[in-house]
Amino acid sequence: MVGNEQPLRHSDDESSAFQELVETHKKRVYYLALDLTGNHHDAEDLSQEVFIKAFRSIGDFRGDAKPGSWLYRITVNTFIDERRRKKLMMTKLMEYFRDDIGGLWAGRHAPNPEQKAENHLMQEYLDGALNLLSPQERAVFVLRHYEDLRLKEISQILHLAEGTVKSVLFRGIRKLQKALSNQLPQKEARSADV
Amino acid sequence: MFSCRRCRARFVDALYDELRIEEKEWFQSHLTSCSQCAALFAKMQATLGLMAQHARKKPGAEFWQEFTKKLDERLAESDQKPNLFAVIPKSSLPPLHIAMKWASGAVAAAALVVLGIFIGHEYRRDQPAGTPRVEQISEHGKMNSPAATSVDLRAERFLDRSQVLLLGIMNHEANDAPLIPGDHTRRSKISRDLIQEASLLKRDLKGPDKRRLRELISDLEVILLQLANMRAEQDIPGLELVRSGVDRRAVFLKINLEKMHFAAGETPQAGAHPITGAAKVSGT
Repeated sequence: MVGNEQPLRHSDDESSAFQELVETHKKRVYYLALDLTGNHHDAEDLSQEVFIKAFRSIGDFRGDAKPGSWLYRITVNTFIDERRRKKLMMTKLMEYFRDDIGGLWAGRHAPNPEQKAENHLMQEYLDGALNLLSPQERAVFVLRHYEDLRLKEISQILHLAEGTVKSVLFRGIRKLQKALSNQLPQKEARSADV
Repeated sequence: MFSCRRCRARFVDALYDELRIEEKEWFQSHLTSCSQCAALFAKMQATLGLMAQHARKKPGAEFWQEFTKKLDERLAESDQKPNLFAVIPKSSLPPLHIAMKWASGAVAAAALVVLGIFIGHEYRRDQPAGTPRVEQISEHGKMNSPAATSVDLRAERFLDRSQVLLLGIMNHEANDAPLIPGDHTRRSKISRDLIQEASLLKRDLKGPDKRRLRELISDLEVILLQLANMRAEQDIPGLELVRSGVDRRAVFLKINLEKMHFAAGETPQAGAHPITGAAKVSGT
């Protein structure tokens, strides 16, 4: 179960039920969004979008489902849709601004180990590795590894077979392993080396 | 080999301690006997150990206080009126006699507006002939221009909105306050709205005489896409990219030329020189 939660009340006053839903779940939704997107601004945007979608469909919410699982599903689906849309947009933009982009973006993401604290650098490597996962792989990994949901719960939230969840997660961990062994300094990478 | 496949199929369960009890013993014994599977499993465990060091940057209390406020604003901004009404409990709806009072007030206001339009129309009809056309357009409003179709009006409004948005970007300095009160999410939202409108306009603006306008809308669409995708308020490289795109494509010049054509109630001919087209504004 996603936390110790009560089923969403179907009271006459759905507005106050919605407020209660936001207050109860806003942190969980935001942190899931943060793990999925990797940055505060997108996480804020995503979590707000989740509650707007929840608000629109609160009347259709089935009482037998857990509100937390329902919100997690909206979060992951919105994240995956948004990533697809952005990928498409970025492809178009890269084509359009091909000449400009090189100069403006060069070196923007290149970390400078001398100037950064070791921990900060490590976070960048970990972020970089997570960014290599597909939206679905990232969603499954985040739900299992950071949200600590069991594989069965993830399969229910994402409407996937449990076997599919396992294979997506296996693939994701292998990708992370390879990414970290390529990116990390030898000391840290040795244990994760392929 | 079959044992290895079977073993690896259970890696994920084992990594997260979800192996069934009856499988645990077999799994452990296989790892003891197979060095390859054992090595791979150890590496995956190490990877998860590293990933566990991934830290979340937690926002402060202020963020949580603002969260609900921003959500309220976004709900109000989005087309939620029917839903918002739907979630108001029946007990909070105004009583029938108050609703009737409001309705009669609204009808009276509408009647006044119609009367005003009628008087204005009659007054215009009495104006002497020969009044320059540009003046007529500016006083009558664009709705009365024979050439101004609803698509033209939409296109003009689109250009106006885009111009205002881009002027804000072009005049923005790195140390300035946010471009639009609120934050960059509002700018993104406006950009997204405009992108949607742009695609509709490109579909609706047909014919060779609209080619130049369609091209301008396509240029703006790409710039708006980038604005919509900016990650933060102070995304300096992103802003620079937008500015260089606006400059390079002479977007403001093109917008102004199109607006002059709209004001004259004309559509520039495809391939016509823009300045020549602009000169037609002074015609009758």
